[in-house]
Amino acid sequence: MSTAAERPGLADLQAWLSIVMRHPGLASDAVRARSARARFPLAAVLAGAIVKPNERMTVTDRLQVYNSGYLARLYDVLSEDYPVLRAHLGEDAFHRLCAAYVARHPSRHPNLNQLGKHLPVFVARQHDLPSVAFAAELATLERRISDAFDAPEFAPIGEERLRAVAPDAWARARLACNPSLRLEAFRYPVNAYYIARREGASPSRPRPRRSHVAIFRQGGHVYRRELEPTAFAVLAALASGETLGRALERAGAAELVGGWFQTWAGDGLFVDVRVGRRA
Amino acid sequence: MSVSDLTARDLGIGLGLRTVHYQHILEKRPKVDFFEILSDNYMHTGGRPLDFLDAIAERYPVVMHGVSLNIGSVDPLDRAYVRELGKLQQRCGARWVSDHLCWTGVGGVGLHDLMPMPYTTQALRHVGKRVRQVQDMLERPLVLENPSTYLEFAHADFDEPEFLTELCRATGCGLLLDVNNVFVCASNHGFDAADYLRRVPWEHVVYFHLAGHTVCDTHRLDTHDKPVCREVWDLYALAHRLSGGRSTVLEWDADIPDFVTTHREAKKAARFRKAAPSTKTLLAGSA
Repeated sequence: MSTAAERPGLADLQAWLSIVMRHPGLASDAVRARSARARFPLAAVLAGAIVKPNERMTVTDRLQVYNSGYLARLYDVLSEDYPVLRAHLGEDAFHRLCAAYVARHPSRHPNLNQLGKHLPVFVARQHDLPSVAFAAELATLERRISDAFDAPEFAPIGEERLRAVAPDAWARARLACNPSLRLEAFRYPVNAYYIARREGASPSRPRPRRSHVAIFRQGGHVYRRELEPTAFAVLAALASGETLGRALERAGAAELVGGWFQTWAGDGLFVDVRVGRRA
Repeated sequence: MSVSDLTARDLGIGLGLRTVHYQHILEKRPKVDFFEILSDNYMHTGGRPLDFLDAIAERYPVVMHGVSLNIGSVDPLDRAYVRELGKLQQRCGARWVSDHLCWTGVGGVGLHDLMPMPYTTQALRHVGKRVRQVQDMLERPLVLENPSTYLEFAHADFDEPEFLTELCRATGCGLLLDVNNVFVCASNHGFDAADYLRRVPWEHVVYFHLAGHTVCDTHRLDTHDKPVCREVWDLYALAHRLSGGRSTVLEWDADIPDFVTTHREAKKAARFRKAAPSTKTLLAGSA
């Protein structure tokens, strides 16, 4: 048994294991990394002064169990959150992307549902990816789906509250949107591509065509609704806190068209309505 | 509330609640003694998982099991996480809250693995202090599980049963004794699993875990992806006898079969609860 002075402290042990585990290479490479050697000298590590070998496994064999599990586990999480991006890029490219991503953005939240939150921005910067702009938009759509799924609980506004607003007061009404609502304007028809992939097709990368998508949760399920540009602009203005009158004005719409509002209310997009004073 | 309040009642044979079984459970309402929920699946989310949890907690007793408390880390205790655990416990009326004796991240970076603790006096003091902090916040004993581990540190003041005993005595916390993990660790580190069980502080053991594992060339891996092996059932029979009877949960987390198959595997536990080894076998030291 070593003396207390020779013993590694808890902080050093944990920092060292974290380095070894997160190293992109094998554990045998990881213990040789400068950051690892700064904690414990290589000779001491290989001599079993930190981790014990046994008759079947060397020190680095034992460390490898943890090193292998790290990326595999995080890859599984990202695969689950970004299934269509994975299908679009292909297995190898997606795996390389995940390895680079977790090296740049390691998990900093106890819940793994936060792991992939920076992936859309990260993808947009990977200029060696084919069709990077489209891939980034696909990642954005999938991230918004996860965001909507995990958004805080809410209760949609009831019909009677909406009916209680006098017709001449609607222009002054501000609607609070449910916290799951995400509105995204895309340069590509990513929602159509997403649907095709989810249905098992292998569509080719689409040509640029603007699309506007509302992503929201209703009754526990996440839905995507493609919107006309004007409807999208009105809903975006409402979501930013504008009155209905101002939202229509900003969107260049004379009035609500074709039952937009009924559809949105039916989708549970609003949780409150407040009517301001007459100017 | 003390740990004896948690150990007093054997809830029976429960199942780890998994999303693939939600629909079956809500539609068929199978007779299950209780469910163990994965706490982290219902935290930092406001959607469908909570709807399912509410529906299941209305119909079945529930206990909580988490993976991200990071109780052994040298990072500051994540008080926001503990507060969320407390809220979830209140929401679903969980009988107890469990996590693992391990660390899962350091330096603000989550490794999302159950990393082994060195069984040293320094680690014992460190974990003990944090367990007391968590228990003060939750106003109930924390229940900690012995994890599966794949390495041993060169320096130790205690073996695992000694460390668990000291921790329980110092903090009054409970133990979740994972029988499969005892077997996996015994195989990986070369100790006698039955001897381990005889040295557990039984008055602190709140419940048991059972699961399947994978046999690799050089070690066993705790994968929760297959039925419980015969050796673990035998150890469970011994543990059940030594404990005098404790609640038991089957975990199945990968390649999860349909609900009926999973539940059938859990219900095998009833046989081993009846057929515990004789006192003579227990004293003789063979499981």
